Amino acid sequence: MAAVKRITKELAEFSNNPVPGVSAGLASEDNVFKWNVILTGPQGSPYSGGVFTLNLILPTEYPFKPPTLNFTTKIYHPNVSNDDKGSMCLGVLRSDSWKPSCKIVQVLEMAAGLLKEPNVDDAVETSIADEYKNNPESFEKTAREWTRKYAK
Amino acid sequence: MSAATNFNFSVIVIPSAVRSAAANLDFPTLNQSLSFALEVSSPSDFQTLYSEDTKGGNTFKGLLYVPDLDPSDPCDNHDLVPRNVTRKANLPMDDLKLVAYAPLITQHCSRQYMYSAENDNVAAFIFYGVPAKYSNNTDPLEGEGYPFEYPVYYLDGSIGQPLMNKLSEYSANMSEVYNGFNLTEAGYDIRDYARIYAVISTKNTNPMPGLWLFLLVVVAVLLFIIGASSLLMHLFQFHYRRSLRRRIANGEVDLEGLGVGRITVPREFLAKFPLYVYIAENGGQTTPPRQKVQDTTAPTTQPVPKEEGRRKERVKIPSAVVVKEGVSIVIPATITAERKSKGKERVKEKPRSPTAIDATTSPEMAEVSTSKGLTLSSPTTPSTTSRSSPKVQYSSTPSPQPRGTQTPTTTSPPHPRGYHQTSCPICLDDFIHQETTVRELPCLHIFHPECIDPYLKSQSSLCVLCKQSCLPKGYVPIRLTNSIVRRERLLRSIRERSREVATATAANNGGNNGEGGILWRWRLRRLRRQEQDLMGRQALVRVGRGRGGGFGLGPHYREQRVVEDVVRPRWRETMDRVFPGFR
Ligand SMILES: [Zn+2]
Ligand SMILES: [Zn+2]
Repeated sequence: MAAVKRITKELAEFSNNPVPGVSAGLASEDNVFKWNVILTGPQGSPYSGGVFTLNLILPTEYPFKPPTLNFTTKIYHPNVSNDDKGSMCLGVLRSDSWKPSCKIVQVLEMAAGLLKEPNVDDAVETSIADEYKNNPESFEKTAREWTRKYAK
Repeated sequence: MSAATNFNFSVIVIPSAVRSAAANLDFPTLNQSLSFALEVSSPSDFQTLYSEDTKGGNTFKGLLYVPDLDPSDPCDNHDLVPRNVTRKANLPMDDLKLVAYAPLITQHCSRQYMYSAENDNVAAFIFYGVPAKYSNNTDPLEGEGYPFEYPVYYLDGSIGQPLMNKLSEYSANMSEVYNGFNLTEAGYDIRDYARIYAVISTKNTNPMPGLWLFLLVVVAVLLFIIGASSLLMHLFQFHYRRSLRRRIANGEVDLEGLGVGRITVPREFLAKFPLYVYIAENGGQTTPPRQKVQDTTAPTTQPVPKEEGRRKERVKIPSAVVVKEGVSIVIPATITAERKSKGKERVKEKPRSPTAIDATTSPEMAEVSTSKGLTLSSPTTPSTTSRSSPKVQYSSTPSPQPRGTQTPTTTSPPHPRGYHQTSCPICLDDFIHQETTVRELPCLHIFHPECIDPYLKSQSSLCVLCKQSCLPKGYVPIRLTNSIVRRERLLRSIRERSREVATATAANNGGNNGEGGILWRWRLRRLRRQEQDLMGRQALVRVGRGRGGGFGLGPHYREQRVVEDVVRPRWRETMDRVFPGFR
């Protein structure tokens, strides 16, 4: 199976060159399509000190179809849906802009990047995005609060 | 019940010699220019008050007369009924069919007249209206408990009173009737009788036929309207389909972007995409030392045998590919020629740096490859490599001889590519210089054939990297249904609006960030959502506020796959067939 081969390759590559602030691994040894990801909140962001766990689900059509990334830790973020799914809205993960050449590492790097700096244009939570833009102090306060509350 | 349709009054001549009645009253009509005739056919002028005849289509005819009343009866008002009006006594025979005629004064009077008529041989009774001062306008039949043997009609007073006056003119013998002198002059026997003869035509007024007719007309009109609009819509749809087909043929439509099912690349097209052996642009990545030599040195004998040897040992791999695909690789004459003319100069200019050439040739190559995509379909060119040695290096070498003479690789830059690709984007494996067989799509992106082919055959017709269609221009891979046409139009309008709104939003954001900006952004988001819904993609659809609706909970989303055109009720299908494009 081509997908398995590629994912295995990517996993090996990732273990050899880990990304700072990101750790990832298979959720279970016999299923390469489900990864557990842990992001640590970057310094200087309202998420600093938080530990966020995510599920990375790879479709069987991978790499032709994009993976999906869900936060299992509650997070106050314009690009993460504020529901039990916690789906992360990332431009490259939209099926019409997804490219198979994009690696999982890059997706994870982008996710980590979004913690540093949310992307208002791609926001899924528009009210949080508006707050982030117009009232950054209040946004940071809530984000920090949520981090303290949920991401310890 | 049957109703009167027509009243005809004329003057007939009954010869005095006839003493016994001819039942059919087959008497000649008096010369009309010398007498009178009256035809009442406007429905507003009469009414059928009573008729026990149910069949209709009958005629009631007889001589017009006024039934006799007791001379003291005040009903015989001589203002209305002239003294010399035709009475029973003025008729030549007793057994003639008669039509009774009387003014409708009061219920009492009409009853008197009708009782009188009962004793006569009456075929019908005609009442006529009188001015209000004479009458209380009662229904003459009101309170009558028994059915009459004859039908009863009502004539409008404006016709009825003059007719009554006429009746007074035709009650005596020929010399005394109206225009009598001229009549006798005209040769009528002075002893003959001229009398007014009434013919009442009726028809069945069973309300059903009228209703049916009305319904029929309504249905016919409806059918016509439906048919006409259906035809019109079909015409419009036909026009839309044709224009969409034209636009697809011109390559103006992103078919896959329409979200209409899965469009794949047919095997025969796929087979035409070139397969060739990958040659690194500056081979240095894989084999730096050798590449170095190749790059800088003039033709030497050294690389040639190497090439030779490699080629021989590798011949099997691609040949396997080739045989499986059923393709022999072709260098179309046109391309060779093109390369000869165009490529030569360029290669001469910069013969030593293939990378540079690649860079400069990339726009040029797009052109070449387009023509390649088309010309490859006709592999009639003689420069076909034989099946036994299908290994071909696409190279923009000016040298026309593809085989036999070993052109040193130094002077033959590798197959120029539109993009700098060193690995397969699908499996992420690096291409190996002069070893890996790669498939080049029309957009010039290259992949392992084993990686890209199954995808193009079964998943999509778009290049996974640039999302460009791999299908030849002008090829319409789907049956254009009305729903596709509709979707395309809808999508186009949404995208257009969304573009407009986006510009407006940008303009607005530049200025201020107030309410207006929020509104515009909201519009943009809504349009994008509509687009996604339409595409049937997985879209985040807002379904209202969060459960509590409280502050901070934010909107609640759920993932929803918008499925369209999957299961549709039968009536919708029919509706669509009759009114295509109706929504
Ligand atoms: Zn590959
Ligand atoms: Zn491409």
